[in-house]
Amino acid sequence: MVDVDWLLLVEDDPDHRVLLEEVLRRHWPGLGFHERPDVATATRWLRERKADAGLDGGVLVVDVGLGGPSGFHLLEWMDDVDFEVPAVVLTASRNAMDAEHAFHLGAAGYFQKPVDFGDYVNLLRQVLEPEDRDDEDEGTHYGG
Amino acid sequence: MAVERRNLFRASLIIEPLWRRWGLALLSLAVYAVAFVPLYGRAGVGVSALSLFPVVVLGWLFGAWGGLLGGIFSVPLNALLLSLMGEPGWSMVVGSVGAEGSALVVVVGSVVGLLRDLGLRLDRHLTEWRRAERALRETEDRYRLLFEHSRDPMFVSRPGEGIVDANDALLRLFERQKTNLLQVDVTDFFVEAADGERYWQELERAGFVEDLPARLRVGGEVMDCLVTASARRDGQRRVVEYQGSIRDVSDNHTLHALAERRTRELEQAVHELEAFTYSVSHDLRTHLVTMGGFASMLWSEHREDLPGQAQDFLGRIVRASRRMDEFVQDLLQYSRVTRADLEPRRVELDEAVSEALSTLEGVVADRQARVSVEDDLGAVHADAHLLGRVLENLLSNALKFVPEGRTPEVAVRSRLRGRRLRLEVEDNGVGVEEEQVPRMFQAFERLEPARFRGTGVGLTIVERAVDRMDGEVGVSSKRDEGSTFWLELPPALPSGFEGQG
Repeated sequence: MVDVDWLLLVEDDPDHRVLLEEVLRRHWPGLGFHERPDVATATRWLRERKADAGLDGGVLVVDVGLGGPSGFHLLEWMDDVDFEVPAVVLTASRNAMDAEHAFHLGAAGYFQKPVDFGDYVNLLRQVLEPEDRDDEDEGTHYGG
Repeated sequence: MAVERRNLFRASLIIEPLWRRWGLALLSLAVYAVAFVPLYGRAGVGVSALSLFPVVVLGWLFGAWGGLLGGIFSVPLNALLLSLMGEPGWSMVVGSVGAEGSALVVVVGSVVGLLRDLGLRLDRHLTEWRRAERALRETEDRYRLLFEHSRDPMFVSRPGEGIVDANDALLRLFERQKTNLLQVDVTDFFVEAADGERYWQELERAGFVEDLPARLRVGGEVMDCLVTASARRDGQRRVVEYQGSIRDVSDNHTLHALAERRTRELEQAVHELEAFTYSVSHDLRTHLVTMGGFASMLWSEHREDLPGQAQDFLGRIVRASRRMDEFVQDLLQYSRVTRADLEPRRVELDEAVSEALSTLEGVVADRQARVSVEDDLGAVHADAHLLGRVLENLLSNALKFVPEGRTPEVAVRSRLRGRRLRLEVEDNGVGVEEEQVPRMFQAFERLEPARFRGTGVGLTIVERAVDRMDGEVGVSSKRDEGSTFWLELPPALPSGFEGQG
């Protein structure tokens, strides 16, 4: 974690929020963790953050299926307002169309939520320590 | 009626059984013999008149030959009877009865016999004629019923007369009374004059037309029909009649539309079911992420804090959630394979196989498997994603179902087979009994649940995917010796034809 100072998780499932927070707390304790349950609150938070401290050093982790507008809407909005924060998309079940959509909207990654804690750690390592990544990014493999 | 009349005729005139005829003949002879003496005395020499009686009876009973022979024999018989009475028999017959009288008896006997024969022959002809008439009426009834009750509109027309008969189906089709349709020229039905011309030309040339497509003026509207007709000729090869039928294919169109609608509805239903499978699998996985995530977090971060038995329990939960995840992922893969939009294009099998193998590197390394891939596997016309899933499943099966302690050996090769490219994946695994082969591709069938982990969906995914790419998949297998899975796909179009398929 050289570049990343903070992470915003946009996720409507509280359990999944806790899970990710735990992974971060244990393995990246210095990282600023923020969470929002939907697109509306996330955009508000991002505006405030930009006004306060700027968006540098941030990473966005966005769930696709949110109650209300989907995670893709957030990516679109980011593009519209020119907020440049690397974003990765998380989903319960990956599919080729969503993956294409995500990359089309400029996502840095498209991942399926792992069932195993260890896999979660590996996944976040790919997101937070991109220089350690292999050339062939396992996480962007999608079924379809 | 006819039968009764004939019996009456035969009963009154023709005596059929032989014993009855002989009986009557003897009876008449007896009557003659008994009457001879008193009549001889009273009628003088009217012997020949008396002889007429049995001779007529013989002619009646036995026909011309009976009458003739009876007449001839009556001459010596009379002579004999006369000599028995003390008369000079022969000279009396020849002299007083006269040759003319005897000849008359013979002639009358023969004529009566001839009449009897003629009657019999007439009777036989009448019987035959009636039988033929009845048979004719039966066939006439049969074909008339066929004609009348046929659901296909039919007509009979004659040259120069137009339609002379039409069945109910035709009347219904044309919405006309029979009387309105008779005498109508078939040519008048055709909307396009050219169709009518072709109809007559074909009939003239070949003697028949078959399923001639034509638009017909039917009732108040125009219908697409197929016309079939043939000419019936007499002995001089002159056309006597035309017999034809009309099939209303606009009806077929409605059937077709119905079938199409049903198909759409079914497709819709299947689509909804697939969407349901997908969303159920998706939601299952959402909760699985939570359960498995926290369980494995406990396992990796807090295992040491737990008593031994709790560790054991936790381990079971973690393993079960991994298995559950594999299962749900396979279900998702299956529904994706079913639902995905296909983009068939040229796929190099060399690349596809090595890509699939790269996802299985871990397994290959773990089992120290030997995988040999033939060079130049060729290219197929397929969807790259789907083919990738197929190859992954086949290769991972080939590596997986190998008994512990045996080094997995997998061979991949291809060859052209007819107009298909056939890819084969051979393993040295456990194989299956021949009768179990059909079960292999069924969903959730696990033939080796005790020895190998699996979800039972893999081969179902393979089959579904290959099917969607217009290919075929199959296996030949020998218990304990291994299996060879093959799949056949259309070969890739020559380069330059891309995008035109």
